[in-house]
Amino acid sequence: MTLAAAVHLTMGTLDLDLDIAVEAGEVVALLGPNGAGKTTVLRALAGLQAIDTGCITIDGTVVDDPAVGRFVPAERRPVGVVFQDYLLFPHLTLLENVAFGPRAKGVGKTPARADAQAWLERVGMGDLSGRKPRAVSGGQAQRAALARALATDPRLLLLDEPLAALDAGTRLSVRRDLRHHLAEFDGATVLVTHDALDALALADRVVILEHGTVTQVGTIAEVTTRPRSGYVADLIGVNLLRGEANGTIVELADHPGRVIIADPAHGPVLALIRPHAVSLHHHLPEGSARNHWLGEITGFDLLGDRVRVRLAGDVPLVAEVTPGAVTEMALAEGESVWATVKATEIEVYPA
Amino acid sequence: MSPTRRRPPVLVVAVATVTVAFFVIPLVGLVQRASWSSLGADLTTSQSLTALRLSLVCSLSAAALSVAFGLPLAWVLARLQFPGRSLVRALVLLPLILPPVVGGVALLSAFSRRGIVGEHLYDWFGIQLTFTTAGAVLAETFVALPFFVITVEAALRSMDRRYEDVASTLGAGRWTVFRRVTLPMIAPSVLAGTVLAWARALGEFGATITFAGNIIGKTQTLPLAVYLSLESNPDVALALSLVLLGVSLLVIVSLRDRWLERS
Repeated sequence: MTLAAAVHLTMGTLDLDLDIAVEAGEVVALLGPNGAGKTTVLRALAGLQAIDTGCITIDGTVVDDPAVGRFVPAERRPVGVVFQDYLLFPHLTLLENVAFGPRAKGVGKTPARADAQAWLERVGMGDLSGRKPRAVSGGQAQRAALARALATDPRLLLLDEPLAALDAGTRLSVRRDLRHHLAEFDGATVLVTHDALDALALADRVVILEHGTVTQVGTIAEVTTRPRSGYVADLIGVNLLRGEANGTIVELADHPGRVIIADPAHGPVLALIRPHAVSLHHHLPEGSARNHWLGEITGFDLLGDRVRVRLAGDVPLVAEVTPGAVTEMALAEGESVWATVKATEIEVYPA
Repeated sequence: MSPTRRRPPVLVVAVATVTVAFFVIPLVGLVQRASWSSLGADLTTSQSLTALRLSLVCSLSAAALSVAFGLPLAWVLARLQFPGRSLVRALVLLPLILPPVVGGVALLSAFSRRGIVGEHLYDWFGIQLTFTTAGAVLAETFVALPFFVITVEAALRSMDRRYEDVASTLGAGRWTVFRRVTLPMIAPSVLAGTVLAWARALGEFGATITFAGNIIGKTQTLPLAVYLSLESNPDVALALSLVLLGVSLLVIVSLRDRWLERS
């Protein structure tokens, strides 16, 4: 295991508690809302922030263990970091930026520069090596920052929101290139992001971090098919209801309503309802759907050729309908409608 | 361009005009009263040349000392957390508003032959600071140093410290981080602080005359020479004043990007 870390620390209102292990060649995304403590985790792994308790091991070496009073400072950890906003040194050229690491580690000026030039060429920036950071675009700065981080030959690569500073157009191509470079990197990679698409495109596994605590770990497929928190459910756009199952009835934990399910279950469960499984009606329908809830429309979101209708009520839901249905039914904010869902359409799994 | 068509407030503009005149008229007087024809001769009298040379040596030394001692101090004030930090900062900045003559008296009580420190300097090493060029440098440094510290400390505080973090993760130790990242990034402020400290040292009068005395060739710097020749040879005083005015203008122009907003 290239990285094995148990990070516990308290900082302001943040109470961080996270275990993470990453193998060589593996890319793990740390996904979570703003303020969840993602960047703090990166700072702890990089050696810019000491942990209160726990232990961090990189490439077999303990770099932080408060119990035995061991702390290896950032400059002596085999870690490369691509910071948010890239933070290329403004007073140095791209070449000097990339050569900075090798130079600081004692490599002579000429070999360090040759090395830096080779790295810039690998990320497709060879002909811009003489430019100052202010004279390159965001995507180019991202590439140079990646080259700078990799030029020290790290065993652990940390990326803090590597694509957040880019506009939508550049993002796509930079993400594709980043994926390619991460595949070539033989060390462990931890990627911090709040964008599920980045995680999907770049990571082998995701760790969901909310309020300093891990709420879910798994492959992208596992996390998206069985979300365990409202954050992930929102991210992938599904309804997730928490409740207590007793046979085929689930009494919701956070809302007054109840949900009828197909297969009996017992104990705390999560019920997942995909928005397209929700039908809307003006009057209480007669039909086979076992679930019908009255809800007030609180808003609409346009998503491709579908409209997402947000409902508030005993069972808050998002329904996905066609724009035609919205016009035909004359749906409007503040109106009350019946939402129905077939019991067989609801996925239930233990909470 | 005024965003509205309202008339400017007459009274306020009038007072502002008077204030500007209050600053400009003395300077015009100085320029007008100077005997330009004999300027060359006045500036090359032996007393003038000696004072000019001495002032240059003393003020440059004071500026250099301000950098050498002010940089670590500014770093400590900006970067280290310790009890009493604001008290230390207040003490360091005190000479900014302390009457220079009081500074001179304070220096006397510390570094004269009977001063707390000066006594030992003299007894143990035979060093005497009062009435020496070193004393003039000391007095100038005392008043100039705060200008450097306040400028550089502000720059250290406002710089994006994440660049230092980047350098650490790239394998740079503290000293390398400071030399290759921090210092280049605050370089404009270090330069500005040095210029300010130098200009303040060059114009220093009260502390110098009180502590170092007024000895031609040893402690009689430009401002002292101006004051003393005002009685005996006013033309020389005016000529030397012009030199100091020119230097001040030069400093203002060189720092204009910091102070004078471009409209």
